[in-house]
Amino acid sequence: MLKISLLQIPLLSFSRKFNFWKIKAIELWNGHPLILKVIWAVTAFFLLLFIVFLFLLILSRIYKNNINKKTERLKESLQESFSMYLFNESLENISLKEKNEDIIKLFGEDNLKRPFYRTILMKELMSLHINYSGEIAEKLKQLFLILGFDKEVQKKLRSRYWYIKANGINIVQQMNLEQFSSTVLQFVVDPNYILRSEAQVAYVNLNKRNPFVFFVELKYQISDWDQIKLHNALMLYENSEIPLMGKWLKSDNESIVVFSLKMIGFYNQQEEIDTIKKVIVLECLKENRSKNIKIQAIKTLGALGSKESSKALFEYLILEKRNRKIIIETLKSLASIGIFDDDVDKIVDFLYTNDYDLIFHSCLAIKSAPNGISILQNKGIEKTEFMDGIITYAFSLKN
Amino acid sequence: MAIFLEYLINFLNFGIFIFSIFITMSYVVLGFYSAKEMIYYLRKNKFVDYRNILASPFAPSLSILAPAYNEENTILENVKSLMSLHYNNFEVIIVNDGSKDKTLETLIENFGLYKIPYAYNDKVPTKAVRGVYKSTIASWNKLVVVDKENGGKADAINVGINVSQYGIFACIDVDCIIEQDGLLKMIKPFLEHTESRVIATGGVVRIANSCDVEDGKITKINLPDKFLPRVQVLEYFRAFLLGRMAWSRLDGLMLISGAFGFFDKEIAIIVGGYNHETVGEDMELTVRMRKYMEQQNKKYLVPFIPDPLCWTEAPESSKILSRQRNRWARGTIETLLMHKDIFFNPKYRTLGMLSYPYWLIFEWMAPIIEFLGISYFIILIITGNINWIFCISLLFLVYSFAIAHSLFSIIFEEYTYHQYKKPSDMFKLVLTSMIEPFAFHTRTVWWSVRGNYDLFTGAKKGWGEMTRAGFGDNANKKK
Repeated sequence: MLKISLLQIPLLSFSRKFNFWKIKAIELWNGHPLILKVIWAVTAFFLLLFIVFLFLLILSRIYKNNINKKTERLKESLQESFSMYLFNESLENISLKEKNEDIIKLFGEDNLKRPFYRTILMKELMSLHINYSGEIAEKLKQLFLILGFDKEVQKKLRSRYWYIKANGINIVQQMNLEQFSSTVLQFVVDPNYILRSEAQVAYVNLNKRNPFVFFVELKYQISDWDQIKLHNALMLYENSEIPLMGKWLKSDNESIVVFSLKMIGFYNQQEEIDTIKKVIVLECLKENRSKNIKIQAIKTLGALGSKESSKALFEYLILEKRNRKIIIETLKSLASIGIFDDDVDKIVDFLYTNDYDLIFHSCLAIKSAPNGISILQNKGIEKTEFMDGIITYAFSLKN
Repeated sequence: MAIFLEYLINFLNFGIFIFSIFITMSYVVLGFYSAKEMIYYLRKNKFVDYRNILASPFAPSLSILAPAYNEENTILENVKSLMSLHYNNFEVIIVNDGSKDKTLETLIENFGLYKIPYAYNDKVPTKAVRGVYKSTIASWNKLVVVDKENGGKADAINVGINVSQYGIFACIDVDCIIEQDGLLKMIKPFLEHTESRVIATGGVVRIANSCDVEDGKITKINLPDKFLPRVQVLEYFRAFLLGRMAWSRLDGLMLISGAFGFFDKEIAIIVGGYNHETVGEDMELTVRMRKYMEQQNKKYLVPFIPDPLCWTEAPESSKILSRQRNRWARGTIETLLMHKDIFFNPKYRTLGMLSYPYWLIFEWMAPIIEFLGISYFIILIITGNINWIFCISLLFLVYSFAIAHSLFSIIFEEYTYHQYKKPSDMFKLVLTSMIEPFAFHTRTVWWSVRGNYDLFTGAKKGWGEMTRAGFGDNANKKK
């Protein structure tokens, strides 16, 4: 016996309609060639993609707006908590345990369990830490540890993804977390460039006693960008803490030698002058040292600016006849140190080379001698129009 | 005859269809590579502090070259804007390309310039230089102005290359607005690669129409009010975020925009600088530099920076836009013809086997094939031979792909740089993407075909008049 309830009637009619259209659709589908079916299927796929993208776009907008609003609100409330923590004296004269409990209460125990809250809190804490130094920076670092962010850093450092590890190293560096220095050291020679780069800077920040210990086993070249970052890390050192870089000049790693030469010149490490002189002589005699090292050595001699440097550069200028770039760099360095009147003769020959840059930089070097310009004029050298133009221009430039 | 016609019809039917499939596939593949590169770029640069370069005495020095022709009304503001960019060691070289107005006089008067006894060295041959000027005012000591005979943009930049002191030069359209940290971001690739030599870097160019501009800086980003510049926003999203990012990943970037590109001066000089014989001088130089490096068997890179760093005013009238697109088409063809020897030449690796064929087939040929397709479609309608179901289905397929592709580029922008913050802007962009295939794309096809015609018949040479409204009338300018 068939029993149909009232509710089932519309359902049945819907089902019949659905079946009807289904059959119609199948007939339509079957009645057309394959190529059309493929086109329809692909069109449907793209339309679906369009709808998905649109949905994602709207969702992203709503999500971003909400997050931004929440973040702004949270940042405001955190400012208050930070001020309470940094400037409330009642937190000073209590036991460590009580202090930790008070701090956790200050930020809210429940809040501290929420990932979003913790992320924003850590970001804010780090940005505050960058802007402060001394006692306040130290207090912020303590807060970082009390709130257990060090455990999160540890987790990041153990991650299997390089970008999370790099983030961890970056936090270590920014918060100056010395306890992670041995972990960071593992990454300084990592094959992944970003990890290695972050780790090297962090290590130099954390280990003032022997910041470049990793140079011993570093096989990868340090890029110019990383050299700039390493130098910036050194800028945070006291002058007395800057390590002597001469010991790295014999390294097989070209970039280590170049970086060391840069630092010797920048920090005017005059005690290195003999070593550098030896390096230059070595370059002149041995072909296998790279052009980059030679050029940097010449620049460094120019930066050191001593009589010794000038002598070494002239010796080198006589020996180096082939490489135009190196000659120009030598002339630049001589111009920056300043030559003696007697040395003008050693340079005059370059004026006849018909090479704009060589003539120009020779002129600047000659000009650096106390009476360079008049010595050259008294020589009565035969000038071409080309040469005369360059000499006039070079001599017209302000020192 | 009937057999021949049948073959022709089959060829047109299937040829155009297969071409469409390939072009669609290429966009999908490029989108995939672009996403990969973008994710890598964002992760890699998440912690970068660009102030490192700003403060460092070891940062490379940079020459900014900006050619100017009849810019008397805007030159002051533009130069001030360039001089205020965040960088330590740089010079700004403005090359007055024989302007007929008072561009030079305005510069001399306002920056306290005087002519120096400069000895010009034409490492790259150029038209005659009339004089080189420097400022007597200490705060403008990084400014160099060169006055020369008119010779076009390529010639003007070549003069800038000859006068520049430093090893890296940036080629910038004088009327573009550069983000304050634009130079820092663009110079970074030159510093971070140790194995390969970076010979050029390209940056994203964005549309500044309707944006708020104050003292030569963008203070608020708005979507253009008018349809034409707004649709170009979409085009630029697709070209820069989905296209060039992918080519950068594939190491096959062939075009560094003339509006904002950085180059290794040594290599640029070796290859002879910018070519005067083409209107696509920016693409031609990039190809020539790459070709040289390949021939020398040297390791090199041409990275692309996706950050929004350079803002330009897009044409708002069909007339100006058509001239621009006509020029782009001619420039592309000229470059491709000049370097036809690299086509499928394995010696040039990615450049010869992938980039060049792509440009040839999908950039040069695509508008022509599309034009042929549309013409064929019209003929079929007239002759009553059209298969309407097939035709409409194909049209829907192309349309659905076009809007999905555009929306993907909008999502890309939303997830990465999120420049257009107003919800209404996003809504307008989505709407524009739905209108674009009918209201704009067909026109770009026509302009491109005209470019082909003009080139091969010699009907049009050079740049053509490119008047800009300036960031005053159509952009919201604050003083």
